[in-house]
Amino acid sequence: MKILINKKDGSTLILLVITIAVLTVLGASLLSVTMINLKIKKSNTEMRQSFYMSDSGLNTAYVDAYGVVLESYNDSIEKVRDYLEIYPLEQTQVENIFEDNYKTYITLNIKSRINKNFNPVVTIQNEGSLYFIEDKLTIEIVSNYKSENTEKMTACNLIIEIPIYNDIYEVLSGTIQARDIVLSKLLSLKNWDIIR
Amino acid sequence: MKNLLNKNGMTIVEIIISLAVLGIVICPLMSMFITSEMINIESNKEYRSIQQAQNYMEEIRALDRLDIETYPFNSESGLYERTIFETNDVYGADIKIKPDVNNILYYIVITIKCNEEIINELEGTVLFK
Repeated sequence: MKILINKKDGSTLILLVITIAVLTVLGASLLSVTMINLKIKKSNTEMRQSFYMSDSGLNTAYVDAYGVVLESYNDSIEKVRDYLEIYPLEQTQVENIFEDNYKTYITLNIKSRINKNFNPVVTIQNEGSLYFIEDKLTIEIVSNYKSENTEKMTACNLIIEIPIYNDIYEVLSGTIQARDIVLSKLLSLKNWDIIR
Repeated sequence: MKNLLNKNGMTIVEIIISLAVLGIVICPLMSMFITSEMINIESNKEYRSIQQAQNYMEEIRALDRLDIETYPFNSESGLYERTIFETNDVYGADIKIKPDVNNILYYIVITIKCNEEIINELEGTVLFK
């Protein structure tokens, strides 16, 4: 045994094997670390991309709601005109008719317009309780975007208010831009939040 | 004098053989190091490009209304466009903003380029009331 250890023939080969082993381990670990690093960067990119896509869902919901508001506004004005043709003297009732029709039109149509099944999936959370409370309708919207490896969810409250008929009446004679400004003030996004 | 006469050490044959073996084995090992360096460059590019794209995106989203001087309207494509040229510090970028029918919602597409090659893309929307 003593002879075997003390013998120096072939020691270079052992030194060589050790050197190669150290280099291999170093190389392999470096490679795996950089690979993981790249994967992290890629998923970071994907997360940021899906965040903006998820946020787009909320913005689209706003535009859809704007469309509903525009329609219900036009519809209500039609209704009021029809009413005034039949009862030209009942000016006091006009405000109520306008308001009731506006509310009904919005609550009936908003669900089908905002809910979307394609990516990003947009859903209304408080579907069961879509009522105007103190002249305000609050809709809780959640937008969920799925990409290959990540899922991003954002939420916000969309608040729809009721215009006053007499105020609008002046706008009616004005331009379309004036109408859009009045109508866009009725809608607002609040409590914007990232769920995950 | 005594040291010079010492016969302990490696033979020339041993050294030549070990150098040859080392030479053969070092080639794939070196390629491993080079690959990891290349991956490192790639991930650095990935991170910097998305960071730059997000900066542009937030710049647009922070505006009250679309700045037509910075993002001039291209009547050919119907888009608001801005091109950032590549320098040593920043990658090149193409920013395209497409208005919706009502002119409330604007679609934003930011493409980041390096040596005329698309390396990253960021899409989003913004509301201008």
